[in-house]
Amino acid sequence: MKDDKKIAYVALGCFLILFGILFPVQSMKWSSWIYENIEISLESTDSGRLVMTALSYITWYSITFSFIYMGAMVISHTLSKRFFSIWNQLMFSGIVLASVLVYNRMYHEHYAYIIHFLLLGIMLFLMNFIPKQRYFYVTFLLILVFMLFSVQWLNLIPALSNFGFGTDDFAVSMKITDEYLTNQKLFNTFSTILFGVFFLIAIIITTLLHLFSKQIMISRQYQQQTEELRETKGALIETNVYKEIHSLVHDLKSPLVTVEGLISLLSLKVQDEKSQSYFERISTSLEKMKDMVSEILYEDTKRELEVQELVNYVRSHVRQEDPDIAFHMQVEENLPNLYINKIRFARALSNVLENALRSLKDEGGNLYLDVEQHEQSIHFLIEDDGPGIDAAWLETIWEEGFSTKNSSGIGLPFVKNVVHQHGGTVSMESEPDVYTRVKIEIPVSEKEDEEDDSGY
Amino acid sequence: MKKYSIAIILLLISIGTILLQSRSVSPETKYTWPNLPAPIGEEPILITSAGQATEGKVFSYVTKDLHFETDYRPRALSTDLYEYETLVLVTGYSPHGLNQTYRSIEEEKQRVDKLLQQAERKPIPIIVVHVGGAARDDQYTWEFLRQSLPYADYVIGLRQMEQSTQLQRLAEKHSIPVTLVEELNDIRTPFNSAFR
Repeated sequence: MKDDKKIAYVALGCFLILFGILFPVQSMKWSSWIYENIEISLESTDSGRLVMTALSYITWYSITFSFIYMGAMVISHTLSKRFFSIWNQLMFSGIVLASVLVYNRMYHEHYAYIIHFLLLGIMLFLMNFIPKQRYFYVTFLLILVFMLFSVQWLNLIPALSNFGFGTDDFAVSMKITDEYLTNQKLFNTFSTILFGVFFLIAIIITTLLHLFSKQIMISRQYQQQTEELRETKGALIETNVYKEIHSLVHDLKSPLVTVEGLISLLSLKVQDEKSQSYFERISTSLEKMKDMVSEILYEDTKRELEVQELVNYVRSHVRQEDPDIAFHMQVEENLPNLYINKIRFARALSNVLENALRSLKDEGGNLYLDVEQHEQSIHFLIEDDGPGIDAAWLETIWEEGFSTKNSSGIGLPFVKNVVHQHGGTVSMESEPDVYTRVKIEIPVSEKEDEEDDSGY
Repeated sequence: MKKYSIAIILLLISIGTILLQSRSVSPETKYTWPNLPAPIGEEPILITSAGQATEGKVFSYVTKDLHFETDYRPRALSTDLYEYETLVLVTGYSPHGLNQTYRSIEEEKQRVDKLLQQAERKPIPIIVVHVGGAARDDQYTWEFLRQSLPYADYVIGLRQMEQSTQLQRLAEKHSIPVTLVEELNDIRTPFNSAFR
């Protein structure tokens, strides 16, 4: 998340908490109404009115604490790197308890902390089952309100007074009034029933949401698997085509040798100057053709190449049409030439770039390709600000068959293989939701003396 | 399991707090006076609140059931004492109750102090009643109790109070007879004994 956005969310969280803490000041008439109605129900020995007042009391406190809990959730969610981590939960609980402490101090109240320990424990437990998706806050608020309505009835159960429940002013006043009117029978029964009802509703809502999100997840997985199956089929066809092309390319060698032989015979026969120059040009083209065939067929075949030419070649092969992805390229000037297998090395670079583009597909972002010289090596740095990779996977991604997207899992092992064949190294570092950086280092070396012509 | 750890810790803290609270109010025997051996007060009785909690009003209804000649005046001043023969102070701090009077806690303490001094000067007996129980056990309520007990002639409270031992000690320190009852309805007997 960007810093500006973070500050805005933290400010929103603080505002919610402040609104919650100051809610009693804004609703003085309401609290006076509750106080007066407790006295009226006593004067008129009207237990029905006392029940209505109790409902009003529960609503009043539920509004106050809903704001505090929501504010704490927004702040802890924003400031935690990983949602629902231990740090996230601790921060959420800490902010809520600190806010309740401030509330109690500010209004000289004696609201029971045990209610909040209990509520925080239940909410953190239930949060494991709330889907962390787009409507998380709405879902959280809904369950929170029902839970607040539930656990606050514990404050009004006189039998629980000895255990530290219901120590705030209104709760004590109502309980003592109930003791005078019904000898605690009304609140002991009524509050227990309402606690149970609201608790059950909150649990049912959480269960339904959990099951619903699971169902959605399964159908998404099914969709994804169908898509992947289609892709794998395509890849299989592509591999077969590649094999065909490979054998065709291999077959090209025989006519090439024939052409080369016949051209050299013709050059011996026809001695005029113009024809000789044509033969020379044909021979040069044939040499180039032989090199290309060789590069396609044999891994060890390398040639000298300008870095800029390689980058242009790679760039022309990577399709990037998404307007939400910004491609930034920087190639240092006057770089020494590389001695590489152009086709294979370009494919390796394309693989890394395509991986980065795939990671940015959903939310867009920036993709950087920097090429620079460091002492005796050329560094290719490919960085994106996509969702990143979990630290636990960074070691295993280089293994053949490993894939986080259920793909063939041969892309990165191929990159590693090609880079190692060129005497270089490749490494990857990533921070989830921040960046992923792949660094390929290729040593700057002299052209090898021995040409591998084993293919001819 | 790790993701449940904070939730489990918080739930364990809740259970621990409940167990601690229940231990502190365990039914250990607290020897107090069952009631006064001889009456100390006379009617008419002024019942007032120290802290403006609802308990004052509730207690006034209890006394009405006993057919005592009482007036419940939660904001009574020392000057109102001239027409009464006994002062009953019902302790219990209520922030909302105090808000209704537009007074600060300091002003409430001053009012109570003046009342106590006037009753002492007159002199008329002072009975301190605390019926809030375990729930009304906050710092400010105790300030009112500590303020009024040195002047009191008799103290009636609830046995369930977490600090009822402390209340007993405080009463013993000032040589005041103290009666602790189980619940609100049981308060009738000791209160009756103070007058009849």
